[in-house]
Amino acid sequence: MKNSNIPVVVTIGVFDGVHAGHRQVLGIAKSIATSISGTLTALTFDPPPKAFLHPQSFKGLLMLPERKSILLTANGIDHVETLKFTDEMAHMSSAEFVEEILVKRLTAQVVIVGRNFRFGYKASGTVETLQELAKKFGFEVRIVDLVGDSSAWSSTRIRGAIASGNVEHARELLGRAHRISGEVVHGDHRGREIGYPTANIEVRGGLLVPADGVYSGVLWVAGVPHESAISVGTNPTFDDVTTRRVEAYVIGRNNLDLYGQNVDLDFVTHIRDMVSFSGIPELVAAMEKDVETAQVDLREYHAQQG
Amino acid sequence: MTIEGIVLVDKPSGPTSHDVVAKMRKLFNTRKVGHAGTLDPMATGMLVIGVGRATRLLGYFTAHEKEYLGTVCLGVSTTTDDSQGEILKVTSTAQLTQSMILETIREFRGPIMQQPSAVSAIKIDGKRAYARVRDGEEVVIPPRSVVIHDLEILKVSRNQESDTFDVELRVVCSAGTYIRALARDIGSSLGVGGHLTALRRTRSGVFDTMVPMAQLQEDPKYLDLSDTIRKAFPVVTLSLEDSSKARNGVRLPTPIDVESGNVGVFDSTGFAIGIFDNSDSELKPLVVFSSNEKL
Repeated sequence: MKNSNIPVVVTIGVFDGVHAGHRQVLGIAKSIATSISGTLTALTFDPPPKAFLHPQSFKGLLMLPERKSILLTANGIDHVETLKFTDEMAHMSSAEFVEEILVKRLTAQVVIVGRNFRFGYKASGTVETLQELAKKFGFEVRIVDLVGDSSAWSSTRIRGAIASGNVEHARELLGRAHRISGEVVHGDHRGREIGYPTANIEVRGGLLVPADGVYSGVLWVAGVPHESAISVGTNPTFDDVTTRRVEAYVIGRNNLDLYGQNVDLDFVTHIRDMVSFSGIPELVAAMEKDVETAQVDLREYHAQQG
Repeated sequence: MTIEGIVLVDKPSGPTSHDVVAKMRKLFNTRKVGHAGTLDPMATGMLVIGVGRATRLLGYFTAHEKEYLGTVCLGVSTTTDDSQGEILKVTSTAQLTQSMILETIREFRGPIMQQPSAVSAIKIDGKRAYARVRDGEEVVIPPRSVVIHDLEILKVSRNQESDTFDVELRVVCSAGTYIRALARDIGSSLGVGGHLTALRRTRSGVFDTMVPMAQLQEDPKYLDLSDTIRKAFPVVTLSLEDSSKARNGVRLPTPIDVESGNVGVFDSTGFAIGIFDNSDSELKPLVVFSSNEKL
């Protein structure tokens, strides 16, 4: 249902995290699209090419495609086109990518990319390649040079911060807390036995889970936020447990039944690393202290948010 | 009567923010009246009005975060993103569910790039954007970075007859955020378009109680200059000797235990000296009220 009278403006990127650098590109793209009364499409990839091509070194996703789509539209994008990044896609030449995707599929009249944009087989295409192909196919290319502290605008850097447990730094770089999503599943109910019943979250495909440790955060259930203390790890105290797990204790709520619900979890601050405790009393004492710290951290977090 | 301070007016729907300023000029019998942050004619609620020397404080209040209650109509987009404009497009909302609406709106929290609505109070080359629209000029306002600090869904109701949804929201946001644009973008994220049908500003920075405009005639409640500064800024009190130095523009070392940023400075008799920037352990004058200044 393409209306040939309305110019199609396309901006291309992985946009994982929709961080400040992404938002700057989106803002510039939006003003270009608005100035020519065009519609603005964000062309993005699932999974990120890096995740497909280098799965061993890829730490995990900052967000799932559905959430990324909503955030892109919240930042002024009219239409999100998510390309499945497959083996076939990885082998497309620069010229094929431009002709098949930009020209035929999206009918792009203006294409907006960052200065360091790479595309095509083995990332051989550069902005210069794109400009040459644009002449051939008759569309316009605008290159965006970002202004400001560009070192902060790296999805890789944000992933690194989260993977090492520095969720505060990730929050600064993203402008919001890192969020994971998943279903609450039955755990071994050990938390309940010691007075801290937790929601055991089965994290959805590929989302980046912070380093093992204890965190403060917010558990979202059906749109309602609950202040929580979070444990990520392998529960080293109980040696029969070996898998990595994310558990959230909703502070002050010992009767919440969340089994089977889809929840989101925002990581606000890192409280401590995981340690082994010699016994249950020591563990309970530590948890009491963790919950107190989480409450203090979350109060400050909410105060910052106004 | 003549006063000096701020009036927290609850603007009714209809008049422009400037109409309210004009009314206050008459009421307080002075030209020195201004406001901190325009409210669209349709909107109601908090308009911070400065009278006399308090107009010099308004710039500091404009930058404050704001709280609004708004109603978004999903399924109808308009030229101005509110109900004043013409209908651009009507889309069925039959496919929308309550949980889709909740999930989508939630993601608008945090920093976003926002394209202001076509008709807005922003100035382009010294001319109000809505004046340009009225004059038939093409308006392109670049997107701006705003922060949605809090976004709470108060009520979602489906209107079967018009095939739309009404969503009532509470929004806490940075200065410069357009709630109309937020309504439009929420609608567009849900694929059905949307516009704002009601808007009320309930808070501007620290100011959250207001007086209905009609009531001001009989009961012109206001905060005087000193009370305004005490409410809006951390307070520093100086000795009489330092006070006269501060009034004469001398930079003074900051007393201990004062938070950095803008502070309100008083002399030891309780008179307001002005607003100072407290940074690098020094008080730098931003606004200084001379002691003999006439109202």
